[in-house]
Formats: sequence, structure tokens, C-alpha cells
Amino acid sequence: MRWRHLRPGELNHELIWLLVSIAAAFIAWAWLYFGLRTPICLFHEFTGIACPGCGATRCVRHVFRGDLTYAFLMNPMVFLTGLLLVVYDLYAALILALRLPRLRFDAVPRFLSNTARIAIPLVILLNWAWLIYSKV
Amino acid sequence: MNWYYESGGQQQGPVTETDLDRLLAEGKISPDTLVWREGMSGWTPLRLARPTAAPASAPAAAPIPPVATGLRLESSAPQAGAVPSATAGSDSPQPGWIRCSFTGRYFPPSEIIYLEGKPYSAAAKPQVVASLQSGAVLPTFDTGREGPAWEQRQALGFMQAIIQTCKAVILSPKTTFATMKREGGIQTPFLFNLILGSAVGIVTQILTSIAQMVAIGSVTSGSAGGGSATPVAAMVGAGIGGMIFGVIFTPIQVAAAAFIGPGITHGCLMLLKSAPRPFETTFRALNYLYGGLAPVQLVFGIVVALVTLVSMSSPVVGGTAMLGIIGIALPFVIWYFYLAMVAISETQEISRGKAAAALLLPVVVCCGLALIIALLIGGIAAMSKR
Repeated sequence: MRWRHLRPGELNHELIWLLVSIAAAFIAWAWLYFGLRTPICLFHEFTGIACPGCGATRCVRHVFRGDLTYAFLMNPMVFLTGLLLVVYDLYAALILALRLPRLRFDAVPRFLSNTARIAIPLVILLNWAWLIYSKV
Repeated sequence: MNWYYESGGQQQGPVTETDLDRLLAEGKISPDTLVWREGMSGWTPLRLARPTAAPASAPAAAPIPPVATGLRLESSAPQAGAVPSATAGSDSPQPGWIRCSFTGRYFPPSEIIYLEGKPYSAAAKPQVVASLQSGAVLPTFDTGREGPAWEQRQALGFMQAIIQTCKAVILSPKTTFATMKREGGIQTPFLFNLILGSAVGIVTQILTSIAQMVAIGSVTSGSAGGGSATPVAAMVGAGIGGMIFGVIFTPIQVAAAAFIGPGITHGCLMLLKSAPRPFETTFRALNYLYGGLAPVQLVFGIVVALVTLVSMSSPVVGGTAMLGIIGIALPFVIWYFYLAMVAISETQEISRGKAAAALLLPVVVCCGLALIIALLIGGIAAMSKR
């Protein structure tokens, strides 16, 4: 893990993902604002059980209304992912505005990659269990 | 003439040219294996070190060894034919090391120079110098991958490049992605996807909105009493509003999706330890796929618009038509996943199974129903070898 400036020809990930997340947030807001049709969950329709993604739209809706507690309860995984995205966007905006060195993993440490491979499926399963328990 | 070659991080040899040909035929070395013989300034991939005409013998002067850092190849060569310790680099990324655009291996930053924004190592020097002297394009380890046609749109023409690229993606995906350029920035494939995706999205939105307005008009005029003008006007307004919304927001949606899809896919590839190439490769493959499938999406959009027209005019017939839509959509979805699996597999040079797993992981997470599709695709992946 190092802090360094971009090499010639290297992708400017900070700029790309900052713009993409702003665009995605704008589209999500516009979609809900104009009341456009939101997709139904086929898994829930067929089985009556929430799928791992159920509650995501309601989570986003509550975020836009400022009801962060309800947003978290709708789908904690989506809420926390959004929170991480906001943190990344703040980092990206700061880096770009002040032209600071970027954080780069030229070679991801093995313990970090192994931890991620265990933690991510675990978080998904725990989140799914919560959604089923709370009957979202 | 004696040759030395690199195998498993160790220097092997000396071998004769005949032995070298035998090793190549037996698959023990490949055209990308680094080789050296007296007279060469550094280790070079076999395919470039040995052109069809045998090179002339070098003068009998002791070669100047390159600086020996990084992966050190131990030499047991006799004094007279001393082999320099070569900077052969590493196949896997080391912290802070940079990938050579020609050999594809990783080197310390002190052994990299930048030409036209691309990093090159000392091992690439002979080929780079030859390219500069002849005025040719700088070589990359992807030389030979020049497609698809959109990459040569200056020569082919705008429309011809679009048509050829779409045909290639739809009709011969394996060949298309096996010869797809994997480096060179993200602008070209992004532009291709943005143009086609936006055009098809806008046309589909317009057709659907028109179908809605026509259906509303025919239902309202046919109902007893003729209906009130106000609801009709509101519905027509909504149809026009939907059209305007589509025209404005479709390019933004396409642009965002152009990054989000490959971003999620590449993240899943990394999670499954199946991303030997950088994000740029995944981005290029999926953007050419998204754009290349635009004609198919247009046909599907026209069908949906017609069904919308029918279903709003006659609920009974419309209900049957909707089932037909779902019947058409499911094979299309499976076909799309198959093409994406081929695209990722051929560009990242991983197995079909790993590509399928990476593509289906987010879908399975998002909707457990996708397990059925996952099993179908998994079956196809298992049957198709790479």
C-alpha cells in the first residue's frame, strides 16, 4: 500500500468513480422523484422469502428522506456499502481538489485479500439472515 | 549457436537451435519464453528473438550484462560463453513494481522508462529501438490483438466500423474477444457503448411512449361516453414526459452502467483470484459486449413497445403477449450471460467456469432466483473448454 502520484497512462480511478457515483446517485434520485417503476423481487414472489437484495430500493428512498435509521434497518448491507462509497467519494474529491498522492495497492497483501474473501460472503449471509428475520 | 532460456524463474541451457525448436514443439517453452544468446543485449521473447531467417552470428566480443536486479537467473555457463545475469522481471506483481508493456512482466521502477505514456523494461529495448527506427507503432505484449473493427474506424469509416463490430460480437464472439485489443485506454470502447447504448435506449423509450399514447387514445375513444379530455391529456403528457426523461437520462444511465457493470465484475474476479489482467481489460471487453448487443436490444425494445400497445388495448390478449415477452427474455438473458462469459474468459485468459462465477456472483447475491440461471450457465461453462 503506497501513496503516490499517477503514472503516465494510468487510469484516474478517483475521478472515474467519483463521477460515476454522482451520476448513479442522480439517476436514483430522479427515478424515485418521478415515481418510475421499480423492479419486483422474483425470488420473493416465488418463495415468499426475502432475497439478499430485498429492501434496497426502500433503503435508498429512506436515505433521500433523511431517515437513516430506517434506511439501515431496510437493508444494512446496502446502507453500509453506500456509506463506504460516500467515504471513498470524499477521499477522491479531496485528492483531486488538492492534487495529492493517491492510495494504491500495487500488490494486495495476502492477509487482506484472504480476509476480504471470508468477510464479504459472511456479511452477505448475515445481512440475508437479518432480512428474513425482520420480514423486510 | 547456443541459446539460454528462462523456465520457472531459473535460467536453463545452453541448448542448440534444434533443441529450442524441440522444446517449443513439446510445449516446454512458448513463443513468449525469454531467451538469450551471445550478441543480444538482453533477454527477449522467443517469438521476436528468432525470426524466420536465422540471425547472423554476433562478433566474438564478451556481452555486457544488464544490471542484475529482481529475478536473478543463476548462470552455470562456461567462461567463454558467459551469460549475463538478466533482469527477467517477475510474472506476479511485487509491491511497487511496474508491468512492462512489451514483455508483460513486472520490474522495479528503476528499470522502467516511459515511452508515449507506456512503461518499458530493458528487456524490451531491442524491439522498442527497432520500432522507433522503422517508425512503426511501439510494440506491446498484445501485439496481434488489434480488434474489433471499431478500433480501426478511422480507416473503415464510422458506420462500417459499427456494423462490423456488432456483427463480430453477435456472430463470432470467441474470435472477436480472442483478438480484442486489451490495452490502449478506455475511451474507445466507452465511446462505442455510449453511442450505441444511448441511441437504442432513446429509440426504445420513444417507441414505448408512443405505444402508450396510442393505446390510451384508442381505449379512451372506444369507451362509452368518449371519456374525459383531462385524463387523456394527462396520460399523453406523461407519455411525452417519459420520452423527454428517456432522451435526457438515457445517456447518463448508459455512461454510469458502462463503469458500474465492469467494476462489479472485476471486483468479483479479484475476489475469486481470477483477474490476471487489470480493470482496463474487463472494461474494454464488457463495453464492446454492451455496445455490440445494442441491435438485439433494439429488436427487443420494438417487441416490448408492440406488446405495450396490445396489452393496454386488450388486457386478455395483452396478458398472453406478456408471457411471450418473458419467454423471449429468458433465453436472451442466458445468451447474454454466455457471451459475457466468453468475453471475460478470452480477454482475461481464465477458464469459462471462473468467468461465469464472477459474472453470476452479484446476480446470485442480488436475487437468489438467479441460482437457476447460474446452474444453467455453469453447465454450459463446464461443457465448453478453454
